[in-house]
Amino acid sequence: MNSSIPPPSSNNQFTSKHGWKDDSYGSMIGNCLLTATTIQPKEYKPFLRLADWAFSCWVRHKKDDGTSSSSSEETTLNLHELAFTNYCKMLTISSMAEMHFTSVTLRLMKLIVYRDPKSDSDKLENHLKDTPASCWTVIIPQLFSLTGHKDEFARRTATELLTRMSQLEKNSTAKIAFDVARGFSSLPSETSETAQKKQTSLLTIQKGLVKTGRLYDDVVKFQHLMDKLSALWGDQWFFLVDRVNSKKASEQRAKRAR
Amino acid sequence: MTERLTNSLNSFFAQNEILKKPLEDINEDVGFDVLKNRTAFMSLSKKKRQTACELFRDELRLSAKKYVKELIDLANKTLSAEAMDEIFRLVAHDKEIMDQFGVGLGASLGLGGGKLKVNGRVAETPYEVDFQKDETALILSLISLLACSKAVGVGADADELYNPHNLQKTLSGTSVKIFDSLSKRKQRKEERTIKYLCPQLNDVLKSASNVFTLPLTTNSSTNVNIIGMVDDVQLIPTKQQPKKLTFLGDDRAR
Repeated sequence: MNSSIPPPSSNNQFTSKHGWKDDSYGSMIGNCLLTATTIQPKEYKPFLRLADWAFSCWVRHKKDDGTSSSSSEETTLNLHELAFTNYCKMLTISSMAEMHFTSVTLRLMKLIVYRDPKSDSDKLENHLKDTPASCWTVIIPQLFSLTGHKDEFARRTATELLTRMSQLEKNSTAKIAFDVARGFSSLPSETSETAQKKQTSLLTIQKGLVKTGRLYDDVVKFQHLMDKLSALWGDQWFFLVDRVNSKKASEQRAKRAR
Repeated sequence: MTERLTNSLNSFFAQNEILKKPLEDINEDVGFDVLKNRTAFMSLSKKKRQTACELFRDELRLSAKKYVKELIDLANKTLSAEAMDEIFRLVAHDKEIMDQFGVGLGASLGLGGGKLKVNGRVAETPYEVDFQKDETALILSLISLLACSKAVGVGADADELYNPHNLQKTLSGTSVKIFDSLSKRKQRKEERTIKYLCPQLNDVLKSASNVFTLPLTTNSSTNVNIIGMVDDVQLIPTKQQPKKLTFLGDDRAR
């Protein structure tokens, strides 16, 4: 369906409300999909189709449009909001017990990261708050990658989602606890700006985890002991003394190993 | 294996990266290869020999500084607080190292203040207790040699210890002793048991078994929790010698 949408042109007029062109097939498709959501407000599929369509248009618009006219910016903003709102709505009304909308959550993540600074962040956050925590469990690693992001909104959203999941989704609590504990231990010793941001986000999630009981302490203890076992002191000294003495040593041993 | 290791170490010590530059300098100064012509070196006048040794010591101190820092860093993660005190006494003459590490016990000894917190490590497992007991002296002697701590005084001391021949022998000897000791340690049977290496691991797994669920069983009707570990640790015979650990599930599967 998306292939039939003509590419956007800055010569055409755009409706300020939805962001699609008034005089194109895109407008017809957009209107049809919008109508479908009003006819079936309790079904998730119309919202998914509308969001998918808006997302594709937003991606294409962002890619193709080099001009920075106000109407063009507004269109991008509207398409972004349309996709974001409907993906969130779709997640809220769908029964997540049966299906995992990995691509939907990944697309939402993309919309969070490439958000226009002019967009209403409070509005977007409110939409995200309504989504069930369970649907985000499939992209926990990706969300952790956002905890050190330069954009404050992306960081805050990822942190909030992870905290919510750790408290509401019992199966994910241990998974998040492992990642938080590992995240702290892998922070660089030099205090860079990114590391500080990441640390702040991790501390927020950690606070939420501590409320869940002993679990976090157990996870930290387990990781500490596994680290001990995987890098025994003797092995660490063996490799360091070897390196200190001569680089030739490792070359010779590698030759022998081959 | 130990013998083979010793032989190979001895064979490449002649090309030791740390000693290379100081030796080149000293060779240039006296006009011949001091390692190849020990007799010629010893026949130099005492003053000339002492000057050469002092030059060698200073050059060695500079070229080995990077490694000394790495050694202290690892020592801080593995040796006791008492050993760290001793290390600080050994390197107290080096302002740059003290600036970087002189916090914690180093500071309490009045040895300056630096950026990193250095206060050693308390041994938590039988393995770590034995390690600190057996290896500390050897590690301290290696750091002492490379940091040139015993040659703070010049003249006769420097002539004796930082004579290139003697240092070559002492450094090789100390390193070989460390390698030897660590290799022997690896061969011991108890080094391959969880009870010796990390007995607390089983306690943690038992007390929090519902936390540690096997990731591969998400599609099965019931999750399998990890309740412990098999005591034997298997070493894979490759270059890095990784360890194979076996976990026990609450369905009695391994």
